[in-house]
Amino acid sequence: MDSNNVDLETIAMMCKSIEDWCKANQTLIDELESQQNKTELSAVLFKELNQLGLLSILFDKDNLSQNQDDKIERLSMALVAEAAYQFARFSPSIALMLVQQNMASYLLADAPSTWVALPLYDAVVEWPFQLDIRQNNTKIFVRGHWKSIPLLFTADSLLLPVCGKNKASFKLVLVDLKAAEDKKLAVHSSGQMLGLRGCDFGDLELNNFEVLDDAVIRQGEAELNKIERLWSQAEVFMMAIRSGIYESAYTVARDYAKERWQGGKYIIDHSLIRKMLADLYQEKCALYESWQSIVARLDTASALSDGQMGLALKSGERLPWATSDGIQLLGGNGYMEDYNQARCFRDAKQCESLLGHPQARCFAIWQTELSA
Amino acid sequence: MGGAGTHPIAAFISYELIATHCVGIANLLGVSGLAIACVMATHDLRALSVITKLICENERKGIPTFLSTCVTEPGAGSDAEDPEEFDQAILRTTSKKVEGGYRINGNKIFISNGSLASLHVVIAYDAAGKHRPEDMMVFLVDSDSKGITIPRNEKKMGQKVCSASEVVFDDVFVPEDMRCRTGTTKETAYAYSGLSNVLGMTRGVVGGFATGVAEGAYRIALDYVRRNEFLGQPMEQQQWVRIELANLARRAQVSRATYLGALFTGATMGLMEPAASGMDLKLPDALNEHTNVKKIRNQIVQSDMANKWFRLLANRQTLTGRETTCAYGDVAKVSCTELAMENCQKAITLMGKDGLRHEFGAEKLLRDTKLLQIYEGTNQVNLLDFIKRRVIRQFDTAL
Repeated sequence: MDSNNVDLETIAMMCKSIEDWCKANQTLIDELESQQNKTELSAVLFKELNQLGLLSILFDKDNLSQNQDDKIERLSMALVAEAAYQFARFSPSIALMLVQQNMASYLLADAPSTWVALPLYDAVVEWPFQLDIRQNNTKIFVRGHWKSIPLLFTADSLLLPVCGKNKASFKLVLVDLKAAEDKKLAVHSSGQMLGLRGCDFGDLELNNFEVLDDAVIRQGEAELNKIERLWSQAEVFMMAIRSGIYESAYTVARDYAKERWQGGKYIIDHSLIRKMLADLYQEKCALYESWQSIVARLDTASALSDGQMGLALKSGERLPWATSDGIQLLGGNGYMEDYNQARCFRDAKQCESLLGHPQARCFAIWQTELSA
Repeated sequence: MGGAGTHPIAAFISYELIATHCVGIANLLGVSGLAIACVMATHDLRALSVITKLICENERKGIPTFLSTCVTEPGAGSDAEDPEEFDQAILRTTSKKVEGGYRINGNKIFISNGSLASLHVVIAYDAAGKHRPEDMMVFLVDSDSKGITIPRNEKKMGQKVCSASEVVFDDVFVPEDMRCRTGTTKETAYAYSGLSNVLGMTRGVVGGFATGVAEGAYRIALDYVRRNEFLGQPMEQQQWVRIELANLARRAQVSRATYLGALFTGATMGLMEPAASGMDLKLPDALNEHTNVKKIRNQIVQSDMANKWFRLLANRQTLTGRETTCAYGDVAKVSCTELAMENCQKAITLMGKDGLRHEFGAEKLLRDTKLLQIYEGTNQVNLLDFIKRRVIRQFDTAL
């Protein structure tokens, strides 16, 4: 397989299997969204997705061992982005979990057998401000709270960035959540979030938690730079998730408009509805094309370009408004959780801050331009 | 809801203050107000007295009185809330004349307070008519009536404190005196004269709800900014954060001016005069409780003369006044709800991941606010109504 060309046949086969799986497992998807305790359901989901071979695509043992720079294959990036898009059409929560697990598998250089939590709601530039790090002789202790970590409440382990202002001191620590001492590490549920409710969010509380050397899986400035690159490239996965949400909101609105009779005709025949649908359609297509183009042109040895990052940020900013229009198109039904639109709207807003505070990411893009 | 003897605008401003904390609670009260307004629009003092008696009796018992307005049906949504689209709406709830009253059959959906209301204000077609607006009737239906069922409460995205229910009327008997009489030559002609007035007034009130939300979003963001840091610096010390806060406060202020403008326009155009005068008998409490006074008051309310006087007050509204009030109401609802949505979205974005967490309150405001852009006609329907009044009917000069 030519690693520089995206293998369309492989992607098409994967898309088909994901769509079939989602249609066959609608009950599991609905239960994940609605149930408070997701531990058992998440375990079932892990098993299912693992069987489909979707949870460690970014970890390619043969390839990663051959390149010193830990460069991810473009095909792997394309597969994860496409898988995220396909899942997001049915369940953006599962799409996020899939992306997160793949990022974890890359960072661990392994295919974990259970879910691994990652602080996906914080940009790398925000990490130094999360925890209080203290060094006592050769020992490092951390304390503080790290909130809203996807899957933390479900996962068996956590990849914890321990990052001071000096990049050289960076360490990525694998924390075994089940074996950790109670008093030094605690995990609390984040409660119900606005969106992505199929994914269990947790809050981490550290109280002089000791960073053990054998738990450090990556460290130093060079590794931090690689992770920064991964966080940047992961924007394309988030765009793919947003694109899937947009596709779902548009499709439901269009189909509803074809069936709903109002004002003496089907609402799709009202020019107002036609305009709203046409606007959504062109924007949905533009978003889809954006992330597809980024994947096709991706230089996996580098972070996304400033322009590509800008597109990612704009997609996050715009999607809540577009899905809000999706609700309007269904009127009162759009506001009910029985229909798809309310969930799309909530998920869209939840996806705005993925990979960090939008303004922090915006400043980070500009800072690189300024430095150059 | 017992009435504090103040002008209706004072009540509407209180809704804004409640909505600053929870727009669902404001809606809980506002929906009862909407039901009263629908009855007032029929200009039937007798029907109004049924409601006021119920409220007073419940107050004495310490029981809150909730009312519902049953308009929306599975086949009729926003078109059922625009008087000029009634003939296109598929309203299937009908009323059939029987001895001593009427029998009502049909399904209503998304009925706010549907499961809480003591009394439903139900809009139904005369079964013998031809589904024209003039065949529409308004009934007061006791929620304990035989044949009423609430099959389910809707699973709404927000405003969960105010339930929205499906209400099924299965051959429900309504006594003759529980039908609102309009007093016009066409006894049932309610739609054109009444509902447009109601919506003209109540859409402004929705603008008040939205203003409360916009203010609430600003306050939540302000509180958050005072307590948190962004990239290692206190948020409140950063200029870009201050500008974001200023814009949140600015939008709330613009929203307040817009909805109050609509309400005062309604007041100056005479729309609320019947409300103010009809509800306020201006008697001391002790005298009000006197048995003879009660009897006299009851006779007045039941008399044709009093009902004529009440209608005379209502008819003092000019066509220009009504059109202007409704146009202002449309603009207030659309503008204020858009400003509220923008404030909620911006507040959450400013707060980052914390904005998405329930305990900070901003995500609840966002979920709650979305409904404001849908009920009382979607914002798109409101805009069509506005442009119809402003351009097509050429009421530009009045505006």
